[in-house]
Amino acid sequence: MTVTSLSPSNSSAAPPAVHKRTDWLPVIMTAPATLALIGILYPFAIAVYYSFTNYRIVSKTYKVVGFQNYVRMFSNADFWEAMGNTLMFAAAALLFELALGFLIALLLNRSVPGVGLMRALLLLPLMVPPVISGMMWKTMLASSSGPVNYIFGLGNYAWFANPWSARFVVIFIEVWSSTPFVALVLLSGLQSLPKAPFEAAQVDGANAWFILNRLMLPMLKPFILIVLLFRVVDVIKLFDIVFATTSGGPMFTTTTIPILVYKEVFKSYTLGSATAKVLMLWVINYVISFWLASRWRKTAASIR
Amino acid sequence: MNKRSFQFLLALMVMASMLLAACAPAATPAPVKTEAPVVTEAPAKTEAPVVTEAPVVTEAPAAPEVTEAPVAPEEPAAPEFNWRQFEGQKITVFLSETPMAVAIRSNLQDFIDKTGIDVEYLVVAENEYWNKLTIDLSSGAGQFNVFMSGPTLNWGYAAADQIQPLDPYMADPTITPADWDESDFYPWALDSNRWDMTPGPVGLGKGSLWAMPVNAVNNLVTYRKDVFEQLGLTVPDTWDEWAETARAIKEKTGGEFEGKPFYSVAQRGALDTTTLSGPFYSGLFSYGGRDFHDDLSPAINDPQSVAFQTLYMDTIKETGSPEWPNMMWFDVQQGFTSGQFAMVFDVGDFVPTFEGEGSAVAGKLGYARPPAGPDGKRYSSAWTWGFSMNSKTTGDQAKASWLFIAWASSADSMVSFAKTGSWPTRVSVWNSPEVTEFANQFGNGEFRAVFDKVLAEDVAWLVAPMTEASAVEQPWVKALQDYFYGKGSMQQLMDQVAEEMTQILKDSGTLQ
Repeated sequence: MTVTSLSPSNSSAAPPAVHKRTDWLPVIMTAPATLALIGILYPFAIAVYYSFTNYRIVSKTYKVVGFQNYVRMFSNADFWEAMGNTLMFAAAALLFELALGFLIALLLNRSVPGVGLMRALLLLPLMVPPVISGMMWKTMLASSSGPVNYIFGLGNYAWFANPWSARFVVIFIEVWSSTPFVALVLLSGLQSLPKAPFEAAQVDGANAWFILNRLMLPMLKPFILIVLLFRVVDVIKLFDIVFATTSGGPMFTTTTIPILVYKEVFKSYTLGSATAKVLMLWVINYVISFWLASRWRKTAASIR
Repeated sequence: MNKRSFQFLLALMVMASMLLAACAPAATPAPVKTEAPVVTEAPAKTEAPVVTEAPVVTEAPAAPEVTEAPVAPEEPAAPEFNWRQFEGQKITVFLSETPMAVAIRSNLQDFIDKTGIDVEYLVVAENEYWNKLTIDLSSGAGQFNVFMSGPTLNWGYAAADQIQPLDPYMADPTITPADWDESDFYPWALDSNRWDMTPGPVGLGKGSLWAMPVNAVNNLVTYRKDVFEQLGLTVPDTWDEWAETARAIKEKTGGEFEGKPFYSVAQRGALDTTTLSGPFYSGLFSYGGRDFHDDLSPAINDPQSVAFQTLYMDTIKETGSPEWPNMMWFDVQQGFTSGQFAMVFDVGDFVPTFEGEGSAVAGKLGYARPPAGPDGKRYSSAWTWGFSMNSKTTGDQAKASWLFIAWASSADSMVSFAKTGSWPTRVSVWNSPEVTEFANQFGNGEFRAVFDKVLAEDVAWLVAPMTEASAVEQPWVKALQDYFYGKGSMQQLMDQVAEEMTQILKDSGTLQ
């Protein structure tokens, strides 16, 4: 940026001194953000490039193969099965997490004895890393030695051997470990709502359904959207729990896109085709997140 | 001096110092350069016969002096080995959580005391181990100088120049102790870690040594003697008998023993390459099947391969645990130890756990050689855990790393390691009084007698070496699970997998 004298020109007077100097302050102030942006964009650009190559991490050479990885991906049954599992797990987990999280938030929003302890206990699953949750539940659900089968008298039931019960268990563990987060966000939302409209509705004799449907949910919508945004981004990348419990089996019934990508990279070493799948997942994640974020902005603006 | 002038002067001084530093003579890199030949030459030697590699390396340490000093040709001084020649060096060792890793950790101080080399080590679970290692090697980060490895994985790393051949170090008397005897190793242990980069069965046992074998992992049948006696059964000697015996156990016990669920056979089955490890390959090859033909066409859909896989899978389906599709090797080990199974065909490394404290089956076990196929062939598909060296490790650090490998693969170390169930790759160690006494305690000497026969007559490396080894196993494991769930006949499923395997080999350029 240059700074020049702003005084009007005067032909009779000596020309004013012009000081040129660079103002580095804006550059310095934006440098961290610029570096962070480069740090994000560079690997992303590299990933896009690799998705058009036949790059194998145990090979010294590779070449650009155009859209071959994408064409094969779309014609590969394993990819579609993994994509179906990914979206099904995401939808089911979000549905249960939101419903249960809301119920728990409603319960914890009351002033009853012991509610503080319950809020603290609610945090416990959040503190357990997902992979540990997976291993813990795998042990609990073991067919012969697991306490769940023993307590519920289920005999020798092999939870992870039946495709549908394996899917159910994966969703269950995901819900178990993430519902507290949803509940906490919605609880903070409930506590921030103004009391006056609720009191007025009660004075006017409004029933619980009316209060829930016409007051609470619309006012809580920004919180619901923001928690959905966080959870969608996370649950579409579901990996740890599946890896720790089923490794994607039996057959391919619990294989998600991240599991498929993991196996391609670390077992088959085909980084090129794996990045094509990662980018596909990124597109889906981006579209859903963008839509949720724009809805959140509109909702937040309308409430203000 | 005003503030602006001071800032200008300061900036000038910083720039000048940086410039000076950049232009300074390369005093520190020089020693590294003198040592560089050892490493820079190593990858180039990958295709050369082993014998031609040795002289190059023996010359390397002397190189810097020779170029400077006048020629002194007379009698070269006899090379002297000294354990403390790299005192003060620091190396990083990466371990996978196995009996061998336990042994290394508990004996590591011996190496540090002996050499003065500082060793940093990292131990992680097996699945995480391979991921972390692959990332380190493929990114060229070079975080780990020495790491545990085995034949299948080495092939990929070797082809990408990510590990270096060990023959040059082994042949250098200045860095290998005189009593470190190469001829003491079981030939199959060294051969299974040699590969000349030719894909397929023909290249195995030739070319460079990519890992130094320390722990021999071989297969045998372990069975519940008490159950067999109670049910009036004899130990299976062939794969057909193995299947019949499993069915007889199921019939006679009704799937319950001592009031608990009880299954005939414990085998690996998870959607992971662990399912296709030693026990599976031993059966496949014994039965006359194989993975690939010499021309790299898949053999998994050949009649004998299909026959074995049908027998194996039908037996598991009918008499094994319903959890089979989720069983990793540690589930097999744990399940058998807790008394849920009548017999297991898996690795001998499990035996100390089976017979150990807290095991429900300790003292109740019998042992038998791998079942034979219809033609009487009987194999134990060998796997060895050993140590490889990162190709990014150079100079004195590489030699210090080799000292670690030489120590870990020495007879003395292996004797100590064997007591954790890390069975040795050296003949003298297996026959040593300490290891004999330790192994004899299992099954009143029966384990040792059987394993003696396995080591002498049955062990062979069977899997076709290629960089795509684990890639081609992915659809294969899935097809076995598909069969378990009745998704098709074995022939149909294996025909499909054979096509996928061929495509994988074509994509990687191995097949034209």
